[in-house]
Amino acid sequence: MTSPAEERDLEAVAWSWIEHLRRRGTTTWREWAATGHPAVEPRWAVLPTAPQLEVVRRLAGSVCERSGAFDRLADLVLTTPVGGRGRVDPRLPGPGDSAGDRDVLEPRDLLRVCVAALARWCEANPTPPGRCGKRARRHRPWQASFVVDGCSPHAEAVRAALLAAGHAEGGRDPVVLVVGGPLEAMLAAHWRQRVATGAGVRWQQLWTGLVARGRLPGPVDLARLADRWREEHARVEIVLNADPADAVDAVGRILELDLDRCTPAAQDPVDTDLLRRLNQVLASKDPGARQRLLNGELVPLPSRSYREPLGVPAAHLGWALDQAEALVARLGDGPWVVHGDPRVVVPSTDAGLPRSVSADRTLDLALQVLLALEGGD
Amino acid sequence: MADKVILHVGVPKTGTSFVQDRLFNNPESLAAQGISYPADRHDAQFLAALDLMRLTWGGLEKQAAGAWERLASAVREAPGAAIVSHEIFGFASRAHVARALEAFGDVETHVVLSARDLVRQIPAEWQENVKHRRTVTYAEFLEQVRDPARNTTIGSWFWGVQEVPDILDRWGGTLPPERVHVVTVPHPGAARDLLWRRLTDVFGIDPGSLPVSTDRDNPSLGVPETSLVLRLNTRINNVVGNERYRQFVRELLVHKTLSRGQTSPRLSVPPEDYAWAAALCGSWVAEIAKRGYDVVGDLEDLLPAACLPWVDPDRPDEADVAAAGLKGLAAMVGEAARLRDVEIELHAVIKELERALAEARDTPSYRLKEKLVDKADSNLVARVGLGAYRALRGRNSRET
Repeated sequence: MTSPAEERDLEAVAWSWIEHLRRRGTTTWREWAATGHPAVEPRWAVLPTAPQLEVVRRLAGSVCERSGAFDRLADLVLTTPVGGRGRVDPRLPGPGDSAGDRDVLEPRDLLRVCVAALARWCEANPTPPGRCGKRARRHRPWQASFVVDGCSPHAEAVRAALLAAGHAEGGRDPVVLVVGGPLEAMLAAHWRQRVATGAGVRWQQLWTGLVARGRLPGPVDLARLADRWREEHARVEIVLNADPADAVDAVGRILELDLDRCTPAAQDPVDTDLLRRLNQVLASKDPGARQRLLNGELVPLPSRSYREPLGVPAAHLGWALDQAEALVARLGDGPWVVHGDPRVVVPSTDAGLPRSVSADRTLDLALQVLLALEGGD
Repeated sequence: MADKVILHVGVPKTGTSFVQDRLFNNPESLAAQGISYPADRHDAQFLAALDLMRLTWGGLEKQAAGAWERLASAVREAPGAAIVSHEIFGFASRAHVARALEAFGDVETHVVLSARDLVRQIPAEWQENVKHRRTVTYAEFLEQVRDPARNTTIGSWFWGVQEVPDILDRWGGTLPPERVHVVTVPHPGAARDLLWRRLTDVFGIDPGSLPVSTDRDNPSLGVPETSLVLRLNTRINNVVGNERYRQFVRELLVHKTLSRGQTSPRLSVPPEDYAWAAALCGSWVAEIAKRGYDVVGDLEDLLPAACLPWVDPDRPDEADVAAAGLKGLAAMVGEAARLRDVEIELHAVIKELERALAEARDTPSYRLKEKLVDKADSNLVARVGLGAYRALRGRNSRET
């Protein structure tokens, strides 16, 4: 146990360590405290917490091609109050503390710090007024008449391919294309859409809620979507593929259009997890700014190769399989044309598929995004 | 401009709801004493606390955006003394506290902490967890509270809002000790208004001057009632949204039904945890005494009285739970009947409105307009003409 006098000495050493970290030093606290260092005047009224200092140390140790002002980034992290739930002000271990709990900083402790700093940056860089996203392209009477519905990377790929070829949705008597894929991919897209509009729900929580309600969400229930469209439109066709690029091909054949098979990169669920954490801190303030930050629109982000699909949480896989089988049956029985195999919607039972977003991965992303701010204003 | 700000920052379960209710509902009386309690709605200062600390709270955080700045601004502009009171302010980190104190400017600042012995606080906090939808058993709760790592959601929250010396250090660390006031909650058996008199003494308020209240007490439940609500949570969590949970479970079932007229066994601490909690209380009392704070009451109040008879809420008497369940069910049926009456009334209103709308549309001119709108779907000339008419008329409705 550290005495009050030892706490004061500890603080004096901590301030010198902070200056070391601000200059991109990466010495650990234990190593620094074990050797003598000249006293340094406190830079701020409040000593940063152990997780804040560890985040700066990790940032300092990360490879970064930019030559920006690291001390500005360090100050952003060290002076931003850390909100949300978790231990209040975890402090650096002192000489009287044996190596143990005070040293252990879990990813969620460090994530709180990163999220707080990113949130503060987002607040300081709000979406400019009048910027509400791109204006939708208008349908021209001589173009193919169609509507694309569905919540999935497949539907997004189809929309992107059609837009890239100059075709907008709409027209008289359109053919309605309900586009879908594996259930977990559709739910991941649904999750991302909810988070993109400000929700803070976790992946597991999303599924728990679905199970409790006993049904799939409307945008994912392809048979229900098709039923609704059938009330007003005679031609409803369902497009089902495992691969979004194949969905683009299928739609091209249906509409007799030459579409580019190149599909936009699938959204990483880790991005969604970080965005939802930002949403929790920022509440209703400007979800657009957060989305643009993670899309790399505000600050160029390093390219990431990690794009793992996210599986159904293990606790709810049985329910998801039941729902998928029921959906397969309804898709096969409906008064519409089905392109592709309805069994595509059945979720994967692959034991190696990640079924939750790892906090370590989200922390890695958060650190990368913070580092990318280093070169920005 | 305020000449004094009094920050009542905790702890939960020490009569804080009663205090805030009285302060909110008696603004004129406060003003006559040169005091204000800046709040335009009953939970305004709670929202300000959420905003300051960026806490989520079952969706309420969306209403909290900007609440802290509004409160700080109102405090700065208040004449005389301003009181800020909410028990979750105790969770603030040193950085949050610095931001809060800076927001009030160069004004005489006092911190008030009402405190109660830990042996009463532990079961009270568990019950509060249950009333906020949690399904953690009492045994699991105790395990997490006793874990020295304090890195679980429950452990970190509990100690964040209950560790009295640490809260006093965070909030009072930059203040002279005479401006840090520890108000002790008396042991059971003391005069009913003793705590109120202690608090009003610190606030500088006449204790008899705030008569108006909305009965917003936060009464506690007994063992079987708490067990019942926990079991209910396991059934309805993720089925019922937070707003409806607050309305039906917390307000109707807990506050207005189960907590009234109770005679059931009270929640307490297991014998094996009593000694640990009592020792911790003793260390806190010694620490507080050393720091020279203004103690309103008696630090002996923070030492636990004899342990209440232990009744395990994880293994309650099922007959007692059933009795509580029946009481709750009766209240729910009564409320369902009342809501059904309201629904029937509303349906009648809707029917009348539909009749009036149909009557208004049953005119030759309206029928003609409908025909023209239908024609516009298949006739280009009609469509262009309709577009021009709508542009000139400038209305949003697309029906005619």
